[in-house]
Amino acid sequence: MTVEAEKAVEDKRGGIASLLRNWLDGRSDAASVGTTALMLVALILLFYSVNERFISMRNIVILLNQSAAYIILGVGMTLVIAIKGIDLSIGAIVAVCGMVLGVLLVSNDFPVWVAISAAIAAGAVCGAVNAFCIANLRVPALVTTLGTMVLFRGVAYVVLEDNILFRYPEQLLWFARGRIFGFAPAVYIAAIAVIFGFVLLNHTRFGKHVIAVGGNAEAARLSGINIRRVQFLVFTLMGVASSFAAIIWVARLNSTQASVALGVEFHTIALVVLGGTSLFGGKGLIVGSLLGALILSVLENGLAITGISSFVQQTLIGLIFITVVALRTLQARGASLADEPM
Amino acid sequence: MSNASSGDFLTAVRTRLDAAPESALLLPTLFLLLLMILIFSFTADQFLSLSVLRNVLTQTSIYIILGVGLTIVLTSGEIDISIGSIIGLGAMILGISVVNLGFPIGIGLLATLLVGVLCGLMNGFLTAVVRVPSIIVTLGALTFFRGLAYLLGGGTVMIGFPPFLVWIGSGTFIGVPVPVWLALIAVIFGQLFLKSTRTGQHIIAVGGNAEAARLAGINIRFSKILAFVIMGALAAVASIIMVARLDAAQSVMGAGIELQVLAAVVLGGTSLFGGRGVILGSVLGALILSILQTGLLLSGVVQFWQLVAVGALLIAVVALRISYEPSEVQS
Repeated sequence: MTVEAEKAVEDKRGGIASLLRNWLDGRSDAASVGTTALMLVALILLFYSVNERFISMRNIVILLNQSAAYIILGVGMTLVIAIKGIDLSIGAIVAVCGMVLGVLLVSNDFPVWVAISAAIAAGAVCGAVNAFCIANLRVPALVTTLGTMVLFRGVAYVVLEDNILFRYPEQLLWFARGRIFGFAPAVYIAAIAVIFGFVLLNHTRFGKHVIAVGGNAEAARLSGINIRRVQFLVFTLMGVASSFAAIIWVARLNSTQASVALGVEFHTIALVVLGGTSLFGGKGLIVGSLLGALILSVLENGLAITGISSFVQQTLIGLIFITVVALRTLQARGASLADEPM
Repeated sequence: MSNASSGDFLTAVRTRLDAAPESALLLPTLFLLLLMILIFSFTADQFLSLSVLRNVLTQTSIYIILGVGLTIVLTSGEIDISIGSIIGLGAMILGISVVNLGFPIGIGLLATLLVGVLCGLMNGFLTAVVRVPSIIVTLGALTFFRGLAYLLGGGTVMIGFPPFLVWIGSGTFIGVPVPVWLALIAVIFGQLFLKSTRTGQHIIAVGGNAEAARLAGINIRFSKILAFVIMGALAAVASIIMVARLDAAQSVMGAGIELQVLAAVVLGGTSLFGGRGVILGSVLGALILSILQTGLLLSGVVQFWQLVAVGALLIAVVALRISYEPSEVQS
């Protein structure tokens, strides 16, 4: 269909649709987050109708605990995607940080706070390696993190080989198994990450720079923004976020192996996109990513509760993801048809 | 980034290479490949033997076939990370039709190819018509196709394929392994298609500048869908070879292969941003990856170090390439 023909169709719909669209255009972020929230509510109701135990305090505690690591990774990835980057290496960074925890706490007897600091430092270093290649060597983020995805995972394998390290000290397990007002500490860490990410992106000068760099790098450069610095910080933050996810992950599983969190980068990108953040940069919806992470956990948890096999689950999650993104793209195209080339 | 004296030399080299961009991209890759062969022939004594060479070539043929497809997709300005899952799904179709249902092998092979084409068609449709970014489409498809493969086959291993299929995997034709022949055909097809056909030129144009291509009257949607369909079909061929080599089909087949193939193609000089595809470069890139892995193995390096080496090599090569190509800088 040519642009003219599409416009003609557009005009015919007119009336309520255009009114609605004008209203949504003014609040496009709120609309994206609203759609995601509706999806989440619909899913929760669906699983509740299948099994009443789905909305029980017990299950909600489990569900939030499961989603904590995803939420933290999602906040980091939202920033990365907002500057039009991508990070495929986060699963491997989780493995490296898990390895550090394992070596310090299981193979040796270091105090827990030392191990946690070391894991966070390891995450920051991994993130900085990515950042250096992307910001200073100007290797595209996709290639850099594809390389470091293999490289970091390799480092974890070199150290851990095929061993599984377990029997972590109680203080570490506390992050996933302890309770503060009924919820695991991991949930509070995730909440802090969301608030931190939200304030950083929406209420600081740095956040404005992030959006500017992602929206139009050349314009951002000309207005005096240090693009490399923004890229460097965002990718390093992603590394730090991965280290927090690793701490929660290890605490929940009470074990570490080199293959931990394999493929988590795909889930994380998926949940950020589900949340409405644009892959074309210049827009980041932290709250959307929070909802995206909850949707992912609700799907996994709900499908498991209904007793559907994990094979069907995987197929369904893939199918739902493709459908939602396709619908969202069509919706966005409807809103901004005039600006589209093709 | 260089001082004045070396600047003159570099400018001269760059001017020379600008006149022949294709070979300019191939030469460093070829140099790297030769360097690696040279190093490993010292560190591993059995390295330069016919049997090792044969093994490396057979093992690489799958990467080469996939690399040809991915080169075409990247040239069109898109990406496909679902190829590993297409392989898994293709293997299940082959296993179910031939082993479980007892269809003749010809029908099994056709069904596998058809499924590959359908997978490519789905990716292409969502990318080119619905216009979801291809990395997102194929990210979803990665999960979806793999899920289908598991749904069809569960965790079982299907065995007992007819001799013809086993011949595809481990037989020879005029002394050369059959997979190597198939890879050769794929390379010749890819090279001719991209460089010497009108459709191939259209794909390059679409990847280079979609708006200009549209104004020149090129059907963007068709070009992109075709690129994905070719990728799907080649992934099906790769899955056939993979099943044939193991004489077994499993849902998990091809998991993670997309990254290896992407690495091979990028090593070969194909641009991630579309408009430039170097089929022969992808062949060299695939050979570099295999030789690196085999060479390190034969040199007695612990298997896990290979991962570190592959990752570091990929970043180093692309970083070097970009520092010599100011035009590709993406700030």
